[in-house]
Amino acid sequence: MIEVADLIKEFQKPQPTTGRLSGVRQLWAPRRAVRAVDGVSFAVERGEMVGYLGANGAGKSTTIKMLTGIVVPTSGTVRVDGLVPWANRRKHAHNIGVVFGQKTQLWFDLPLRVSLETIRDLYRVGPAEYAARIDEFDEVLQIKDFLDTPIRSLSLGQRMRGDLAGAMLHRPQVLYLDEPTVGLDVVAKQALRDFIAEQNRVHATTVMITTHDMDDIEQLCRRIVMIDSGRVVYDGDLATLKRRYLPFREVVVTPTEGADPTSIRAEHADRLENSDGTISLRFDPERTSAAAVIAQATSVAEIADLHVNEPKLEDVVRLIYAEAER
Amino acid sequence: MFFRANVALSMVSVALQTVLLVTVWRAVYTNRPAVAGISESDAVSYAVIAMLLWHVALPWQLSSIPERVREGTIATDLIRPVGVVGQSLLQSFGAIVGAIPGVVVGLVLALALGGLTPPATGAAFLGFLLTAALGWLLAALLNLAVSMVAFWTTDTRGPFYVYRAIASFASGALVPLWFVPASLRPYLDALPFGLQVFAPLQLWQGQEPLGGLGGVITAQLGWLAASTAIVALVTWRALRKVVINGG
Repeated sequence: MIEVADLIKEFQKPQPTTGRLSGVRQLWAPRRAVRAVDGVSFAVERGEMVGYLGANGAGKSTTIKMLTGIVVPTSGTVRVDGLVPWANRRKHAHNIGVVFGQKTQLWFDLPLRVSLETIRDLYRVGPAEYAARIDEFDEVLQIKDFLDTPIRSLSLGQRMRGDLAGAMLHRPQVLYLDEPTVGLDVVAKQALRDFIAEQNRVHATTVMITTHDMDDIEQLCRRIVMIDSGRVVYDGDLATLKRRYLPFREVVVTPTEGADPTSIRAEHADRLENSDGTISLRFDPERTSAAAVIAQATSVAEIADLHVNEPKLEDVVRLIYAEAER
Repeated sequence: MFFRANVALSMVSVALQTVLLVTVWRAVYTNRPAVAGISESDAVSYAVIAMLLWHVALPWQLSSIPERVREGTIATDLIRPVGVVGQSLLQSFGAIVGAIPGVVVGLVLALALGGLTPPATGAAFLGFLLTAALGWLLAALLNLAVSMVAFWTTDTRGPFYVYRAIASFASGALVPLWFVPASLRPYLDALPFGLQVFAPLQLWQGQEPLGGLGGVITAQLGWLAASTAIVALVTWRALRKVVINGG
């Protein structure tokens, strides 16, 4: 559905000037090319949901803008359902829906109903289909509660639900979401995720999402494409990513009062004493199992409580971003 | 509510301008039967209709493109199944519809004050309508071409001030071109702006514009073809230059 090969985007920026009349001299200062996307290649199958991750400034949004046809790349190729987005803008527009968390595609001064009707007419959606889709969207997004409210008066959560309805009204094959849950409360986030998951499940909509909210990824995506400094550093499934960057799990033990915490150990597990008095036994699941670690820990001391920590995507991403900064 | 109030206020503004124009031009003609061969009634009528054309066609005001480029919301226009140029022209057309109540107020008031001479003939009126419509389209395309500068400069105020200063004067909307020194006229006639206001108004008043009705329409069509080519070229270049501000 989406084929991207050797995609490069460079922006020309003036060299910074200092000293007298620097603001004027800046006008003819030599330009330097800043590469925002540097040879990105990947392919997405129909019906896939892909998380496109990266730190701020890594090139995620620029890639999405090239895939949607908004920005023309410096070099490389993109085909979405066989169309080059920037060369076939109008035809391509019927195939895609886009939601930007930071900007609305709805008309600020018009009620949501009028915005959606305008989109209906722009994309030539028939009246019966329109009515059916509004009913369908309302089941999860509950947009009928605020259809007659101008966009400028909607809360962020309501506006995003309206934006998502607008993006899916013409039933596009591909949905791009650029930080769709930024600034939303947990209820609004969940409504958006439920809606996206349902569109994917029922209509096989291909979804590509950029986000800094790892819950979005964990709930929606099986596949991750991660970029850093404009280059793809990982393309694969979520479980493999976690194994690669956080290859250990952790059993956290709370000893009973009076028990000797120093005795709590397990073979093939690193022992850490936490400031709250708990003991962490960190182990590689390929060398030992959680059951073995728990059995050894409980055999040497009386235990008040214990739990197993799974590696979190958030920790993986933090690790990768920190590496990138270094 | 805000928009209805805005339309009502624009009607008040047009009414005020109509009264002022009629009063000032009559004062200019006090004790003079004609200036540069133009009678008082023709000059007053010209001033009122030129102001109404300005109001209805919003000439020399840029489209929303510069603001949308600056804020980055142009991104949402570029993912529509209608081109950016088409969206902008439709928006300009919508602005005309919004300006119609003001025009009605201006015409009624000018008639009541005796400041509006009717078109010289029915044919003159049809000629006026046709050339005013083509003139509006020409203004809309030129506005669009200047608006596109935003893709390079982000801030379009500088080019806009230059454009508006030249266009508003050279069209005859500020001062009828009868009163412009003869030495300047060839330069103004070489520009497209006189075809937007002055030539249609000459037809209204039964005067022979440069080249007659056929000459005006031919010149307008020529300029429309040239400005369409310019807009297409500038748009083609601009869409390769797009940078979306604000992430």
